[in-house]
Amino acid sequence: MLLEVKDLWVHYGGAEAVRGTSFEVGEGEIVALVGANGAGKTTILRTISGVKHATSGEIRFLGQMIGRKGPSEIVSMGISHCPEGRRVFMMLSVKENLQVGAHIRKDKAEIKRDMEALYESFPVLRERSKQDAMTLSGGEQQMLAIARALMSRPKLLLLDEPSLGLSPIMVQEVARIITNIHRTGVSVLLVEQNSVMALNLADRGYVLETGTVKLEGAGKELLHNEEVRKAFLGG
Amino acid sequence: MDVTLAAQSFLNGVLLGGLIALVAVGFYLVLGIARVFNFAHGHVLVLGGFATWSFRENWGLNFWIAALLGLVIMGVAGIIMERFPFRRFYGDFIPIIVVGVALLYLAEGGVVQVWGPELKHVGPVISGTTDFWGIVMTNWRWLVIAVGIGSMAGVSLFLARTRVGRAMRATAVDPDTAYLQGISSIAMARTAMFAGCALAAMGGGLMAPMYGVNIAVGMAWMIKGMMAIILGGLGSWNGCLAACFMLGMAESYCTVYINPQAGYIAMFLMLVVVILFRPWGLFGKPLRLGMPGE
Ligand SMILES: Nc1ncnc2c1ncn2[C@@H]1O[C@H](COP(=O)(O)OP(=O)(O)OP(=O)(O)O)[C@@H](O)[C@H]1O
Ligand SMILES: [Mg+2]
Repeated sequence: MLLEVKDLWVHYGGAEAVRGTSFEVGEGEIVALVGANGAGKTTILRTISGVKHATSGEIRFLGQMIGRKGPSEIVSMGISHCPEGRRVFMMLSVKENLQVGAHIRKDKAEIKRDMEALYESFPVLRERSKQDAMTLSGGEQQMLAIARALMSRPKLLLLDEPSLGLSPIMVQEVARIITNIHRTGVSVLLVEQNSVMALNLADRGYVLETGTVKLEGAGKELLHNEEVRKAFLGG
Repeated sequence: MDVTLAAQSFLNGVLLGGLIALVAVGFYLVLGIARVFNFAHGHVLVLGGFATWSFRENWGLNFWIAALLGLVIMGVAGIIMERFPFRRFYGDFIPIIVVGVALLYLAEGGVVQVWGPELKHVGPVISGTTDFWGIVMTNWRWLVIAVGIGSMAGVSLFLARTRVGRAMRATAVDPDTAYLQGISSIAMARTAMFAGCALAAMGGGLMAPMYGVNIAVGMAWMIKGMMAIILGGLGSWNGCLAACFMLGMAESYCTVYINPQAGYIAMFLMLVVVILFRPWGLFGKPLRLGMPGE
């Protein structure tokens, strides 16, 4: 297994945000984590990235326990996190955003090559490489955020609501990008409110409710599940 | 109108602006990254001057080695200040101010205990004057101008071009997301405190052969540095630099053409006018709220 999360509990002060969640991401998989507002999706991703620490439970990446590590070590091991709301560095140029994504790497020549490759896949970013990220549209910022996350050469990409606030056409574009990334051999843990998009893309999915996994199964299977349809897809 | 006097005042403005910038850079970096305002920062400059004086006049070391030692010692003092009093209050503005003021009084009392309240003189390092198109200045002043401009160019390049400089700017914009990229805000704050205090101490060392070393000026330099970052605005390094030189010019010209008090008043007036119309400064953006992550 690439990533194994076992009986994870996470608190904010005294409040429980994640309550005994377990799930896995296999090598080469796209796994979707869907659930309503406040279900704990973002908290789970932040805990995997090491910016938040669990109260109890295990997180293993490539067999190693990573629950006590900080983000710089975790990014170096090959987990990259594209946060909710894009969070590009507004006052830095597009190029600098990508360079910051490669902060933990020291191989300058390779960083340059990766940046070139990303400019090939995201031509908008090349056109705007010298402009501040602030000047990009929402969709372009989402691409920059994904590209920035790829600059650390992840084995596992954590995507937190990449379709948030995007037009239907842009959502399709993001789905296409995720498929392409997956084809290059990167595994993806995809968190979404847009369950249809996520479950369509995913090999497997988990439905999260108030911090616990309620259902799991193949992506398409969940998409057609009665309970899921009632709860998330509007009937 | 006397052209030479005007030109001379201009160069003096550049000199003062460079010295203000050596103080302001610390404020700019540390405020941007850790949201810490260190009220004792002007005293860091003065302590750099006193250290230089001691190593030079008491120990008889070469001036440059003395100044370098002062720079390193105050840089390390910056790291210690970041680690102990400030770190535990990150994000809590009132305690940060209290800590800064406490450090200011500690520095003030400490200096008076160790060195006494009077002005200390540091002997000349290089002598002579140079005439450049009729503008005559001591060689030492020419050198300080060069060092001031050189170090600001260095800081600019560092922030714009290096990996750590970029990481610092990313942290200032969004510490939480920078942390996700593997950048520790604490490490950035530490680096900023070291660089800021070292540069201020260097300013103190450089001005010692011109103005002597005196505890009384600590507060004045703190205020000038603070005015520079308010005038320039947070989040814009070029704005901060421009503000430093504007303040230097205001002080220089008013001192020459009116009187020394007018220099100070002019600086404050400039600040008040700018704040009235642009509270976030000439080149800045409204302040990011929130607190640094780990
Ligand atoms: N910084 C915080 N401090 C306190 N409580 C928090 C914090 N962040 C999240 N929570 C709480 O933890 C729970 C889970 O939040 P989380 O952000 O992980 O949910 P989510 O599934 O990502 O929701 P959304 O779909 O709205 O992004 C919620 O009850 C939320 O109020
Ligand atoms: Mg969320």
